[in-house]
Amino acid sequence: MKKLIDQDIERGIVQPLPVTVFPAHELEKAFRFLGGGKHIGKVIVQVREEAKSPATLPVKVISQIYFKPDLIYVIPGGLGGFGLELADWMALRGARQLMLSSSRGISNSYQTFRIA
Amino acid sequence: MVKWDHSEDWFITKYENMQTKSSGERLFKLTLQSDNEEFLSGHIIDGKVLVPATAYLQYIWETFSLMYHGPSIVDVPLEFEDIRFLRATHLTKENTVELIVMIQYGTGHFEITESGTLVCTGIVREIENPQPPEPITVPKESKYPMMTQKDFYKELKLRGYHYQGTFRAVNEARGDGLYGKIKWEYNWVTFMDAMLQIHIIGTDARTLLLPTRIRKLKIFGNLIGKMLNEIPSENKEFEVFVSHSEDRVVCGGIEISGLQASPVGRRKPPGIPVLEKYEFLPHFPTPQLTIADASRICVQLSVENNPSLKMNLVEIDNGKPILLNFVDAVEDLPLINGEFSLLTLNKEVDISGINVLVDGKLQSMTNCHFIIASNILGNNSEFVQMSKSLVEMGYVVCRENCNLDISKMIRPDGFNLIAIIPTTEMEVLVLLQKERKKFYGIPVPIEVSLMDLEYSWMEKARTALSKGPVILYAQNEKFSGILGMVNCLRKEPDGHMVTCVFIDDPRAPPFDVTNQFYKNQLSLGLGVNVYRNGQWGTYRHLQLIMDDIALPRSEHIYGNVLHRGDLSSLNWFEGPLQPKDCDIDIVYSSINFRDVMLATGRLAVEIYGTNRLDQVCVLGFEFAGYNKRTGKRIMSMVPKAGIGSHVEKPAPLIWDVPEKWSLKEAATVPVVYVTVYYAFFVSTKINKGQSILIHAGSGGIGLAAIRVALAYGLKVYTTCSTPQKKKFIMDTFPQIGASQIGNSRDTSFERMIQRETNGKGVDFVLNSLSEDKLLASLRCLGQSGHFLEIGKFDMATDNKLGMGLFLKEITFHAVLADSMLFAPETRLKVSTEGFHIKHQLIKLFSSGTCFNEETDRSRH
Repeated sequence: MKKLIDQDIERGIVQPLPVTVFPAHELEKAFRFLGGGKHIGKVIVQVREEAKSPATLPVKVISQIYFKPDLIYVIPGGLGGFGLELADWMALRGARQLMLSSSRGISNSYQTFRIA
Repeated sequence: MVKWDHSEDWFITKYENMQTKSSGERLFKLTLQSDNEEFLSGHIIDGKVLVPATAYLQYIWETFSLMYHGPSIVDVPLEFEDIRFLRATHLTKENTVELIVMIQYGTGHFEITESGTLVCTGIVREIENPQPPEPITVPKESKYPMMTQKDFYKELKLRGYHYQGTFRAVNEARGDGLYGKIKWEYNWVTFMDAMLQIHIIGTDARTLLLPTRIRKLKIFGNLIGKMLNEIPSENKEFEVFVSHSEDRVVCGGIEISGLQASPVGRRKPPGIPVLEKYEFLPHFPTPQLTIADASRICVQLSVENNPSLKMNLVEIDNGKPILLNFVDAVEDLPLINGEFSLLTLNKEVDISGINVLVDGKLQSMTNCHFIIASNILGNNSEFVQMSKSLVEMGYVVCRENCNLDISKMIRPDGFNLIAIIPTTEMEVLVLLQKERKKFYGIPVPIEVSLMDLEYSWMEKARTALSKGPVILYAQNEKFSGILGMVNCLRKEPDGHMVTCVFIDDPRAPPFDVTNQFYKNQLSLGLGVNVYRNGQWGTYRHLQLIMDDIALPRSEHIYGNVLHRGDLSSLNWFEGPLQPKDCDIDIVYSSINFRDVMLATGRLAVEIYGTNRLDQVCVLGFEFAGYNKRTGKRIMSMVPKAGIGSHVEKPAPLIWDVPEKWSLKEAATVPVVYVTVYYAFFVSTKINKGQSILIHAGSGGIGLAAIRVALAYGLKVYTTCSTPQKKKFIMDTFPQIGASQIGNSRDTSFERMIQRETNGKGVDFVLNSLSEDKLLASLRCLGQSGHFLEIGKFDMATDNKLGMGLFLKEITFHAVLADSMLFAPETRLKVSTEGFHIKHQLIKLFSSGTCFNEETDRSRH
């Protein structure tokens, strides 16, 4: 037994595992493969060709809007139902400084709750 | 003659269906049509009526009090324990749901089943010496405001709780969800449900949570009766207090502790969003457009100029009707309905959504908003008939050959040329509008200028409008809001009296109604006129075509599911990071089982905290890549967003990739080895000569664990699911014989361990199996053995362990290696351990032989 272990140490113990690679556009296939439980070792997704490639492998991308945390966004009429939801959505997408304006000011407790 | 007046229904208590059998079993038939359960129809979750969790408890309560006392439930102080709500029961107007409630006399264990499946379980008992619940002190002052009932239920509605009727029992609630007031309406179900509702509001989430477990619930019916007598009879309400640290909710003699709720998947919203872009479109001619966009422009122009909630559209069939495009265009507009007719000679035609009139004649059609016809320009007699069938200012869409020479086109009498739209289908749509007969008067031009800080134009417009039509114009002010303002004004009564001219081109002459340039355009009678880039036109909503071409991307992208639980919605998304600010480019992202669990919704994103900001882009926590700043190849473990193209800053758990490995190989290392070393050296300490059972030996963690355990001189037993995997393990590790590899799909490995160890059991189990297989694995442990649990399933479902197992002095370790990632700064101890492992791993990577030293150290 001792002999076997020694042999293993010489070979190095922490060794990479067997791996199945999927190209970036086959993300779904990779998840299903792992979820199916038929794999041995690890499942990975290749994002770019090699370390120094500036761009990724070709993929379809869903566009998303992001807001800049260092800018102030003004939403006129932002205390209405739509305005509050818009502010909520913008905050989730990165906006940190929002200015909501309204002709009536804070007129009900719901607005107060959402702003808090 | 005297008669009974049956005009009113009265509630009477009926005892016949309250009779109970000695076994404590009762059958409840629920139907929304019955007066008793009608109120349940207000418990609407995500559009469906579900039996509320508290209704089950009420049935248990009734049954229990009948078993020992009488039908008056209020007199029986009760205590529920370990209540689990296993599945939701759906009620519809028609169906009857039969719930079988069973309580065991000896233990008070209860269960509720519905058509053979378990719905709710728990324990119920009477409280011997009822003590009123210990009050919770909630700070009276809070930066959170009190919300009215209306606002409270508005917020809940956004989350998917559509409570109606008596279920809207919360009168007031504070924004932090710690304090509120609940209306008393002589209904225990809605009263207790309202206590649960208060609990919801305190979390910043838009997820729909339903109660799945309550550790303890105490009801002191008498106390409530006493309290009720003390408060005035009208407006009976109770204060509710919530404590998160004590995990309790107290309200008027009811105390709920240890409430757990799990997120449920929302149904997809019923509509498909209409995605449009808004841009300037010249009219003479427009750029080449798809037939879909061309139809949208016609419909939108009609809505802008002569608004009508009901549109009547007719096409004269030429064999290839385009009417369906108009159907789509109308359906994409809110509030507007259309009636669509196709006049055809072909008996075979059948298009859904369109009235097909075989041999239909235009003469029989009246009040049309649109008539679509082919190759009719120049045929004036046709236009005379069409004019009769159209409403005032109705439109004719002429489908003409694409070679049509616009300059030679003869405008039919009584029609204005509004737009010429070449389509991608080798056709030109010529949009003509029937001239307005009615004369409103000579319009007064008024300039709307941003420079006019006194808003003097407003008073002028007001006065002029009271007398007759007005032209509001803006010139050379790029940011003028005139379009939106006129759009609103035209929706007011007499809005058609307002015409807008927006001149957004410095080359245009100053606005003057007598100038032929403007005169010509105004003679068309359009409500909105925009001059831009040397052309007249309007702003229109065109279809937004999704960019679905696979391209290499240099911006930040990340992988995620569009709808949680639906793997086919896995996509790459544009991410929030700026690649120039990022230190690391990812080359390979690993997918771990945890990612699959998150994507399929079996693991809730709430583990990232209840803050919604933390719940976006959560997939992926291991990758290999390239650090642009240092020029080194690295591999790392991150809390989230590891399936992506960039990482902003190096995380604490990061290693340089050894020379001899490729990045592809490196991506397989961090998570599995960190887990294994955490289990073997932090949670416990493995020693040479000991034995270990490693489940799922062909998985990532299994392979790494076997390698390390063998390296440290342990006797390894393992399991896997298929003969191929078994062969793979034996090929990879010649030290492991066929008799040491069991099946991971059943509990037969227990026999294998007993046989192989002569009944002694093993020193360690590295477990990832669940339920009965977990219990069997525990029984595989020998005296003073250590159980290393890396699976989360049983912990998440709170399954029970028999304490008797611990007589063998065994130890149970929960090994959650990812805990190191989440709160490294607050859990200092774990994080230093993390660095310790890291240190150890670096040593291991840098030279294989250092294992001698390590092994020696761990022996001491």
